[in-house]
Amino acid sequence: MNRRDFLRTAAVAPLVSFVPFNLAHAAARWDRILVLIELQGGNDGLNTVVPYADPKYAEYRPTIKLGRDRILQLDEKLGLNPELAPMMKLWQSKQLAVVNGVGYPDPNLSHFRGIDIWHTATDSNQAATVGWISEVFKHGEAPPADYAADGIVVGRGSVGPLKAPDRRILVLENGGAAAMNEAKRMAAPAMGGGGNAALAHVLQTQQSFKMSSAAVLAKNVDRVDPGATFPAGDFGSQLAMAARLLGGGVQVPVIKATIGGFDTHATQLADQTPLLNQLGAGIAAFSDAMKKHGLWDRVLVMTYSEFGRRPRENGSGGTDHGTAAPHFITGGKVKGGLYGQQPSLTDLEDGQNLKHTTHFRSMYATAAQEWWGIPTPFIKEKALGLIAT
Amino acid sequence: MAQPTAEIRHLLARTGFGMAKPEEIDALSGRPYAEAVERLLDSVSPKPHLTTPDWLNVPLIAQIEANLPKEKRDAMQMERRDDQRELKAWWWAEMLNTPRPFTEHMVLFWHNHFTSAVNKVNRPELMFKQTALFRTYAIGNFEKLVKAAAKDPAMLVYLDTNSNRAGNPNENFARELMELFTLGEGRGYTELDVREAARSFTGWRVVTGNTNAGFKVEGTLHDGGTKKFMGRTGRFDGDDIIDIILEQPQVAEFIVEKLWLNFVNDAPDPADVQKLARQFRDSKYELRPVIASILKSDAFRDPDNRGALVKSPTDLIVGTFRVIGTPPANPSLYPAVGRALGQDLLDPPNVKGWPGGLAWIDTSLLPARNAFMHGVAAGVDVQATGKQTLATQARRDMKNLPVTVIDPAKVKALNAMPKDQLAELILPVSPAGGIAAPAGSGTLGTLLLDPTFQLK
Repeated sequence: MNRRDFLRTAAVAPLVSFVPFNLAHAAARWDRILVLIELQGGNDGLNTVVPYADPKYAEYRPTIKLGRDRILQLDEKLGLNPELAPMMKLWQSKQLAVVNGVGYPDPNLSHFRGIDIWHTATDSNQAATVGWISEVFKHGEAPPADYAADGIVVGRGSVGPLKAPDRRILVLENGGAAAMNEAKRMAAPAMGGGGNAALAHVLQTQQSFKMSSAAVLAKNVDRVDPGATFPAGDFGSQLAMAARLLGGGVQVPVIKATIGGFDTHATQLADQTPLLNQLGAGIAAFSDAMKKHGLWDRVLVMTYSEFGRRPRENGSGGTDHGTAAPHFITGGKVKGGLYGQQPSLTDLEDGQNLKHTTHFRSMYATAAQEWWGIPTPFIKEKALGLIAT
Repeated sequence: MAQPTAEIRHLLARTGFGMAKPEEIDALSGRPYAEAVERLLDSVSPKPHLTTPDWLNVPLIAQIEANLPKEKRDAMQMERRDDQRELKAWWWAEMLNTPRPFTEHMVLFWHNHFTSAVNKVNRPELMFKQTALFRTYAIGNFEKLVKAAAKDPAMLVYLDTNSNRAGNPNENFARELMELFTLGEGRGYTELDVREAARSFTGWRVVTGNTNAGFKVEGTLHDGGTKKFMGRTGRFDGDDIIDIILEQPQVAEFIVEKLWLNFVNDAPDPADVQKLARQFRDSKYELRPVIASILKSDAFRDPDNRGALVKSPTDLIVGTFRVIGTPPANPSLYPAVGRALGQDLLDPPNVKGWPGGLAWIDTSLLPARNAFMHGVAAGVDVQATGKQTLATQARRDMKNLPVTVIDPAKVKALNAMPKDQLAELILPVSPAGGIAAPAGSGTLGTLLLDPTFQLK
């Protein structure tokens, strides 16, 4: 029995004794929404939140370092990449948390295995098939049955953190036309009336899908004003879709968006710059949109990526797969500021990689415990304490 | 007729790809059921039906060395990407074309058990070699299979044995050997056993160079010291560790359970599993007799058991086109279809493989499967009426497979069958109905859209 199984078994009976009393009886805050943004490919942290004052930074990156004069300073040591300028107003209004050094022990530098670890919240030597959010729903509390879905993926990204056979997940690529089309032509299944468990599962899933789609279709989200101008491109469209869903009143606790292309092994400056530009403009526009819809206090936006990148640039003007990296958490209820230690640039793992200072599961504990008020006995790491009460 | 055709159909659907061609059913019908099972087991062959890709005959095992000039490295990587695509396409084509679908069914079963992924192994020729190993031992001896898989070059790379060395052991393979390949998670081993087993596999290396990929023990990297493993003490190497593991009765139970989930249903009967596991152990891990017993068991043959398993995406795609398709002119299109429906062959999601069972269908995957079957039904309609054009939506639904993958002659022959017989051929159980078949789709098209078509 591994650690997680033990905790699951233990969690069945004396659940109350595992959680603080103030959480034990409180209902989950299902009026609150988590918006996840996956930075696909492994975003380079050192050129995102730049340790501009550390001489090692310039030394490690002779051709891809960002000039000190261009950095948007957060404090006397760290600053944002200038492409993230639109996010500075969130920083100034103290609603942007920058979580430094996010990673985990024995890091895996494969894209596939790395994202699998992040999606399932397992230790690096464990494999699981259920996503971490679905674990939260399964062992804590599930979203209300009358919600449109347990989660909506906007765009082509994987269902990753929501993966589970029995969860109601809608995938709405390109504005969701294909899924809605499928829902319309899929007849309401004839339920009941014998059949085996497999057939029952097919019909049940079909019915769930139809009900979720109907709940989205009923809100006519196509006609909802997103509430802001989003950057051009696929990522901007995904966030605009998210804004229309929420603005239109679709009830859902999780939305996931994805922006890809961060695997910058070569010509990183040329490749990462436009991506961070879209990320910064997208998050800022989403925040504006949520404010306009009166939802900003009900939204928590969180970025994640399978790994960070190597401190030293390689011979191709890029960086290879690395370990820890900073991530952003923002929302109307977020207490802005710097969280977690910036990893040392001199004390490196095997002389190569950043040592993580914040376990990524602390971010998940923050979302589950602080944001939704759901106890998560399978996460031993502490929440970051960044949600205002 | 000695056997009802429905039972032979069930046997072929469960040992192939979810359904069977009429001629395959005919060939096994008309004899006692047990004889049909043995004929099916006789069909398994280590030799693939299609000729293998050219580049497999060229030894190109050399590492992509970091000190090669960048252009050379990039060119090698590009070539590997092409070969990787070609290898995936080749396997889909083999499954679609082979007269021995049971062989490929077992290759896929072992691919999903002793998992490796080409995205990590990065050398498609090694992945081919691994699937060839699964073809050789498809229903052979499990002990030999475990020992061969432990030394298989793709496995050595995938689970990091290749970098496991004395003084700095890597536990990746040792852990999965016990957790996923033999004993099952938490069934009778400790963290100390994992560490000691890892020491025993130190120095196991892929032989590189201009020869066929092979295996060697690098003596200077092997930890020849004394290990304590599962209550035993000795200067164990990897094979000794496997021998000790295979002495544990849990191994036979674990493998029999997995075979049961694959062939029979989602609820293995503990008493039956015990009985079969005893047989498996007594036969010194011979797979053929235990698989024969499963296929001849009352549970497998129970008519209530038909349609009790969910088709994998591979079943859905390969099974369907084996029955209504043409030999694929462009097999490189199939891997993308598998990926869209949730099964990118040769790139499993992680070391646990595809969870399978009910997990093949959830609210995010069902619409993709349904859309695909809508596209195929529209394609069937087009081929039946000779219109030869497919609507844009249907092309999208078919994930860009051209309508010519559907054989008009087969569609015509099937639609000419009496309705009841056709339903018995296409579906595992009576249709559930309640489907909105598009106007114009014939009998065959309607059956393909029935919810029970998702089952086998």
